[in-house]
Amino acid sequence: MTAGSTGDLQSQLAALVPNLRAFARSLCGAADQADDLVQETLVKAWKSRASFDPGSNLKAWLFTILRNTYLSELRKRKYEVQDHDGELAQQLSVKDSQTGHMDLVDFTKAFAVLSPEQREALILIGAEGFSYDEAALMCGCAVGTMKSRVNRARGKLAELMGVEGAEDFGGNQAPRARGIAVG
Amino acid sequence: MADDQKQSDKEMRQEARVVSMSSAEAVPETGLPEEARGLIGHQLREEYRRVLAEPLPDKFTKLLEELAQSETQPALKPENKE
Repeated sequence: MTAGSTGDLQSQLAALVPNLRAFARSLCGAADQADDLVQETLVKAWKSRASFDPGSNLKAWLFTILRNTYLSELRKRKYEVQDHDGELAQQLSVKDSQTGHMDLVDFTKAFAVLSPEQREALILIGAEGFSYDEAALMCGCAVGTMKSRVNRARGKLAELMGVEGAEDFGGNQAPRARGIAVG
Repeated sequence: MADDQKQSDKEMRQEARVVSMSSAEAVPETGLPEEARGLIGHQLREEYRRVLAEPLPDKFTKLLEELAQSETQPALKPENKE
């Protein structure tokens, strides 16, 4: 590899760091953990740069490295993380004993309840604008699986945010916060 | 190993579910109204853009410079974090 192309790759990687950070934050939530994940991704990408086809999509390649790194780490800590997620999900789905309504939450809290696979599917399709084909390739799953993850993720968010039915839209952008302290 | 097995079992169940869903027309095609999908999509992009717009810490530029320099210094250990 020539010095010129090394410099090119360096600047191309630098230009994509904001996207990698946003993607990592969507996956793991915590900002410092997300930045560690991005750094690890950059090191891995640099080490294996010879395997990158310059004619292909660099962002897709980097995102794939990042999500593989994240999910393999997650699998190592599987039980700990699942317990936490389960607890949070349970906490959020407890119905108010007085009204019988589910406590509604804002987008950020609802998003955190989704599985990692659902979060990445939503981000890749809904925020980064990858096609279902591209996203399925990046995540190593069938296109139908990717579509199903996106649909389930949207459905879960709507349920938690209380925007499932048309009657929930009173011209108000914010989801109503029944049972949640406002102020 | 047990984890890998569980993971692949999970993937297979996932696949099976997708197949069975496409045959039954009751795909949870999210019976969501357009407004709900629009609202979710909007908030998703807003939140994503907010993080995209955050100022970039120096550590990333430094890391990339270190990696580029490792071209001429193959002994560099990238796992050394400050």
